Amino acid sequence: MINDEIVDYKLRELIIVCKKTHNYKKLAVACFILLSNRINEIGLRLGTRLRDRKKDENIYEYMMDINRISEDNFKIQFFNLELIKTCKRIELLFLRSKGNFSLQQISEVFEIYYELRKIEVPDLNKRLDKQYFKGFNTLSKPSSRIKNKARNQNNNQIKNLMLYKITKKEENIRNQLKKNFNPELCEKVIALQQSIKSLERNTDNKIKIHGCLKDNFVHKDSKYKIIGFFLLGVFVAFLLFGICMIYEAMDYPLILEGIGPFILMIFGLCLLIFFIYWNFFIKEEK
Amino acid sequence: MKTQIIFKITFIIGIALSFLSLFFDYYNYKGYNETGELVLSWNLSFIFNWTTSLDETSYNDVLRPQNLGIPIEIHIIFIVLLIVSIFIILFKDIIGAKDFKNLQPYVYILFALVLFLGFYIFIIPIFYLINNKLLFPIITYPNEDIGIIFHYSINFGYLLEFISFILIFPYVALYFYIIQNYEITQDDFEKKLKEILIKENEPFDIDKFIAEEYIKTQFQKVQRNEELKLKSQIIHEGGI
Repeated sequence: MINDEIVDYKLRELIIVCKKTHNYKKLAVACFILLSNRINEIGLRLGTRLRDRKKDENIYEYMMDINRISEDNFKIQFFNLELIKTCKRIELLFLRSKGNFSLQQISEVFEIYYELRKIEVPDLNKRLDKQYFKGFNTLSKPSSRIKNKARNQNNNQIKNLMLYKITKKEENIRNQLKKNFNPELCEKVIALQQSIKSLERNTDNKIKIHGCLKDNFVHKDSKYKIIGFFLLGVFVAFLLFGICMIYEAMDYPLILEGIGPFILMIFGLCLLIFFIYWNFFIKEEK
Repeated sequence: MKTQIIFKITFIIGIALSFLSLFFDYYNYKGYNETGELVLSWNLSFIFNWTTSLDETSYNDVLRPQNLGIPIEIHIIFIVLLIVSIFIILFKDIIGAKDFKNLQPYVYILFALVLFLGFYIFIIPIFYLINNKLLFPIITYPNEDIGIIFHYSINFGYLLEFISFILIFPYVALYFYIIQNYEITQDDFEKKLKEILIKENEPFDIDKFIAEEYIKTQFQKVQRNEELKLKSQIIHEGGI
């Protein structure tokens, strides 16, 4: 697949050379192929089926079908009716004349093609949740993985809980942002939104990230996490040390008098560290 | 990024300290007589076992602590784990990793390292020292019956293990946390979309179209030239 800029450049070349040879039929055919391929891409990005070329489905019919699906599911008409109308007229003419088009008609096809190029299509295939697809029977291959989400009910329950918590947290931060703008909070909201999206797409409750961790927003989160883990490490180490001493005191009660204050100190320190860890890392997370 | 680098360095320092701890004295067991003279001195290091700096006096010999019976294999495995952990931190870093699935086995190695450190700071004191009547951590115990003041204390070896546990734990926990909670996905939607489109779209080779038309123009040019040649020949020579 070549990108649009190269297509434009090559189309220009083709137009020049076809004008020289007066072979407008080739230009019309090229233009209709481009149109057909473009409409297929749009359909696929929207999560619908591909145009059925075997059944000679016309481009305008496929456009109408996409409109019907988007109307049913999102209450919007994806293609302008005027555009479909023009496309229908031109396409029927093309079929009847077997491609023998005038320059004027070819320019009309180009207009349709570039109108379609202007449409920025969201990748609904990878973003939509299962709930949007109730009664959406025309979805084909790519959307089947979304349907697979329903398989593991338990996972979904945990996922929903996680989603609920993250959404609530996001709401809180948004409220804070309304009162006073803070770039750090704003970044946090974006990170949370990413996490929500990842969770929505996820099947095993792992947060999906793209690229590597250092290129992601969650990387910032890991920075705080590691400080938390450091505190947890200190807590565990002193706890183990304290347990050793308690075990010893149970075996030799005589020495309790000597090491008693030391044990208290150790456990006091443990409590303090755990309190800090709980307040700054666990509570914050909740 | 800075924080992670700091903790990466602390992890490496922790590994180095753990390694060193094996050669330092882990535990001291000393005894002084009523005049304050050192009559008993045994030092425990895992590589050299119990060693003494005193000449074999009667006390030193009689009160020699029992062999703890820690298998040497444990220390060898520990050293191997330390070396592998250095390899992991240098070449299998989690922060820059592009696939977490491949890193899963390394989590278990790091986890084993933490468990071994736990063994040195928790299991050995409880099951090997205290159970052999070697008190912990620093105890001075006068035994009036035999007239000796016993002095039990942990030494550098233990302290280094303790510190290295604190230094190693955060990075291992982060490694584990990331593997458990995150998953790297290749953004293959565009790739898949392209694959489907290539398969399903009408094949369109625009270069071929251009080349065909270009050949046609060239052919037309040649034809025109020949026609011109023929016409000029007719004009000049008055016939073919």
